[in-house]
Amino acid sequence: MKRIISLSLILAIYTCQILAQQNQSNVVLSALKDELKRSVTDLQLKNFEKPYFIEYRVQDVYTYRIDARFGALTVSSGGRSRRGSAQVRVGNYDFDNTNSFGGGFDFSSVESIMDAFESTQSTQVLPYEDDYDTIRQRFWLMTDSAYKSAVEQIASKRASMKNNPPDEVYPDLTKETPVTDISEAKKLEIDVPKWEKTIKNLSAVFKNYPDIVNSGVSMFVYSSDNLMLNNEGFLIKKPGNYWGLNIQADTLTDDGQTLGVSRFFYGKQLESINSEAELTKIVNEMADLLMKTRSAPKFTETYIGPVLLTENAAPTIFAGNFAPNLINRRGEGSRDLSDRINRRVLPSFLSITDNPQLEKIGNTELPGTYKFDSQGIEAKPLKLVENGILRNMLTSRTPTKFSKQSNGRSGGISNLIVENSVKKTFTELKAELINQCKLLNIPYGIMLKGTHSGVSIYKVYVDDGHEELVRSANIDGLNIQDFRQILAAGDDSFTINVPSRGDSNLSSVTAPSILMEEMVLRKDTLPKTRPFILTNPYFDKTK
Amino acid sequence: MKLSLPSYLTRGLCILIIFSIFLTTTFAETNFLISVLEEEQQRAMRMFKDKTDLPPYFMSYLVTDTQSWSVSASQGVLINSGGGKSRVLDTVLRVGDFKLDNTHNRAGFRNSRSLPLEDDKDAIKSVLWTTTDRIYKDAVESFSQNKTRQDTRAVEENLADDFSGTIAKKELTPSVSQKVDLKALEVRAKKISAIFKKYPQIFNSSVSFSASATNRYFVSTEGASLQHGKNLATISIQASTRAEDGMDLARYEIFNAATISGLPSDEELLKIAETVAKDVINLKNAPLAEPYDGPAILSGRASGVFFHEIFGHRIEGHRQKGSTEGNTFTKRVNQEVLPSFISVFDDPTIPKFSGEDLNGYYLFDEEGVPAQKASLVENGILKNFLMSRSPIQGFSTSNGHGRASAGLSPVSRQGNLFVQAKQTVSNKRLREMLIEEIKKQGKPFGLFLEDISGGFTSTQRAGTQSFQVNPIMVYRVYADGRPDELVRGVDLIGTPLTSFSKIIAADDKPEIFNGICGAESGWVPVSAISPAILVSQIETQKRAKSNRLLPILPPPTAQKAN
Repeated sequence: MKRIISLSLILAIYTCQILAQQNQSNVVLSALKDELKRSVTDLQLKNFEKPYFIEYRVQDVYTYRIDARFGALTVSSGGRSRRGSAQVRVGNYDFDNTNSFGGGFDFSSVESIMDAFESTQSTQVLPYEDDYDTIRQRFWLMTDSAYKSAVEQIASKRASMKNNPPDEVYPDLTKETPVTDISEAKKLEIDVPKWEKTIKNLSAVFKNYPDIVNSGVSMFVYSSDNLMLNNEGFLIKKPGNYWGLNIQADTLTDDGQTLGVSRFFYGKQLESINSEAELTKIVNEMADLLMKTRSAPKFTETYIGPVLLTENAAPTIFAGNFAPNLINRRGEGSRDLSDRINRRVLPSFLSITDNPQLEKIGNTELPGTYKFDSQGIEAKPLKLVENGILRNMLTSRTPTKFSKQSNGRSGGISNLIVENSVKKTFTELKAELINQCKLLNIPYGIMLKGTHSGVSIYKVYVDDGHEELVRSANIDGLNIQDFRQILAAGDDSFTINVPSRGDSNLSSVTAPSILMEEMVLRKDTLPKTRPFILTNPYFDKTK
Repeated sequence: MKLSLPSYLTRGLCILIIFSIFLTTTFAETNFLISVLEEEQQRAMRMFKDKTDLPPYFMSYLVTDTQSWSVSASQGVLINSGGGKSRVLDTVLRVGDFKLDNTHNRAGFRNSRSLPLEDDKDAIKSVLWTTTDRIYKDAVESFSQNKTRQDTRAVEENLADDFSGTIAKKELTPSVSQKVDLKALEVRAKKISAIFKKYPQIFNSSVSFSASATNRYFVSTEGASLQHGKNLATISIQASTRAEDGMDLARYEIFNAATISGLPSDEELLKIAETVAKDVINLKNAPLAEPYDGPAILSGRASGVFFHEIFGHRIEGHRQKGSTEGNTFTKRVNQEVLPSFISVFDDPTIPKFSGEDLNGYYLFDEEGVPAQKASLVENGILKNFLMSRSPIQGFSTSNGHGRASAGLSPVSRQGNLFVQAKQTVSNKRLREMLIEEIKKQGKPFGLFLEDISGGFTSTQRAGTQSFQVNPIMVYRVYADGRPDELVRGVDLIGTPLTSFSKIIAADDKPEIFNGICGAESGWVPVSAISPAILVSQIETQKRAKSNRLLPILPPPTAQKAN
């Protein structure tokens, strides 16, 4: 009898533990729900309006970073953290305290500085362990502070609209159908000693290059859980996992020019990182390229003419100079493309799709894949440019002249793909480059061959087609109009990963090689560095 | 332009490590880092001599190697827990000569880099190489500018040299380390911080443990090679809330020791947390202080902070030099600056005072100079300044007060500041004297400043030359025998020289204030030791406050309880 009792006691304790564990994961959610409910019902300052919208976010983050230089560790650290934020809107969907113009903090008095500081307190570092009371207490104070700021903001927005009425008024928040979606993913966990060894080994490759002055290899993992809920009924929990690897080196030329190479790799799963052997090969290639560039002739003229962009140079130019203009923004200063809807922005053989559902192109994993954006809006593939004509824009819940509804792009692009209907081989593209040069009667054309953050510049000679690596040229920035002057595009496709503002933190851009009708390259005008007086100690045989 | 010199003292007990102090060279075997630094320094000097016509006349490397840990919790749950390593290289390279070099009137320049964490000779040397080469080229450029400027401008007011020589020491003490059990600290921080769950009116609270083991390695072309280390452990308990009228109120307690095991026990810490919580609640309910002008007693700890801020920072050598500095004491050497019964000295070589360890204790400063006692004020007469290797007129050598945190250029700073009174009275008598003074001046009450959180002082000429000290626990002392009354929102204000002339008595029980002081050369551990003092006149103002209302809704936990 005694035995049975003790057994059932153990069982009871065991069951309790399981229950406690299950509850644990819901502790944060139930604390947020309870505080949200109370705030919606009761939060109101006498003689002021109640909030119409309250949104809570909790982000759990684990990060780890490992850096090495010349074969030795310089950083190896990481940790867990949790942040929370509360957003409160007063007014209504058509007119609320946000999207104010001219705003900014008032630093005219101690009091206004303290108030300004206070209003930023609606985002906080939270304990990363789960505790119902603590979460509620923190969100109680954050909501209170955000509400009081909102009340002040809407008053000053009303006053400023009265004094200076805007020409056009748009609503402040789109109305959307609430979504509930909870998804979990395996956390990225890094085997620290293993990766320390790999990163050290990779950084030691540069010890074979006497002319490399500074170099380093750095890697990090970022693993997050993002919880969002609001009083409209949205409830989204989703993971955001990615890793990054950065390799960089620089050298000083004999004529005092600092040259660098760097390469960033990003991915979602640790399994997608290249093997150490492959990475070693990449590091060697980078160092070799840097040495080749170091001894390459200097670009001393001004070039205006056709340019062939190949490998990562093509998606890089779309990511940097085109994609940002596809994000629909509010405000008169906005330089987005919304005024050009149904107008030509690219040649007719090019189209652009943003596809958050696509997982892979060939064997290349696309990191910009997601289901809901950070505002909880479902994201579907969007045809942005069709046969050269702009058809759509990337929108969020902030309405604009163009947009009344979000298409789930509050974080910007997902996987942006430039598609080509008239495919040319690389040989054809190169021939076309030479042909263009002949028309202009210039002795060579330019080819940019790129890694993500740096491009190698080649002169392609008209007479025999030979390529010559040159160094130290500055490329003038491209305008959106320049993209209409793309003459031809390749049958190839290159994908780069770029950081984004969304919860997934990564997006991708895919594009074929392209031939631009005109770009401008100038000689580098950076001040020169004085040559080294001390010799590199590692290669110093005099000691 | 920098208008204020922030200085911040936080409370704590400190037990510094007395880890085999060897006064002469004890290690036959040379240390890894020292030998790498020496090798690379010698190689660089040889090349500068061979290849340039302006080789450095002085060079030093300082490596600060720190391993640190921290754990903090709020209301029984963890906010963070972790640790890390860092190794920071600070390089000093001077071209020209002691009289005029590249640093002339260029205070605060920094030449800091992080070094590989591992004892890898090649990797460390690759950083030393690029750093030294760049710093040398910058130094040559600065020097030539300084020389031109000197030739083309009026003679400066202060004709002191740019640098002073010192006797180079060779002293390698064993490295220090700490064993820290993060899991155990997590349990403790959670347990202690959970106390605050009982007080829903407290908006914010936390309990943090931190620990560090710091080893410093120094070599110079004068022949110095030094290794010395210091362990430090800290616990801080803080809580804050807001009064009905919008005033933010905070209270905290910080304790220091060499190691975690030297910190107060959980039992003591739980009691302290309770006191912190109750103090905050009492402050919330305390009446608001009105601006006041009259007699006051500063407890020994409060007086220590007062002297640190108002006197200590103005007696730092480099503050006598700059044309933007207020130079309060520059021309007052051998004049009376304090009442004649008071003497002040700073002595970093004293590890302990009445059984308690002092935060401001160290063996060598960050310029490789051995710590020394500096007798600043003798019987009220100003005699000396706190000196780094930056000379001032009449004071040409360092007295070992050139201090900095890793990555910043050293300037003269305090270590252990001692305030001594020749004539003292008992604490009871001091209080009687306060009451006599209140009556004499016809005031309704006097003030007792029990605890001070810190303050700031502006030593700059362009600033107001004033100071402000923020006492947390201030009581009204009534002459008619009513019990003392806690008030909130008191800021102590005034100008330095007049404040010191109002000291009329001191008690016979010096107290220790251990803390961390921040200024242009970073955060350095300091102590201030002083008796309680009676001042005939002190001026206070109302503390600035926000007009934010209390939260609209009651605390969720309180509501749940109802």
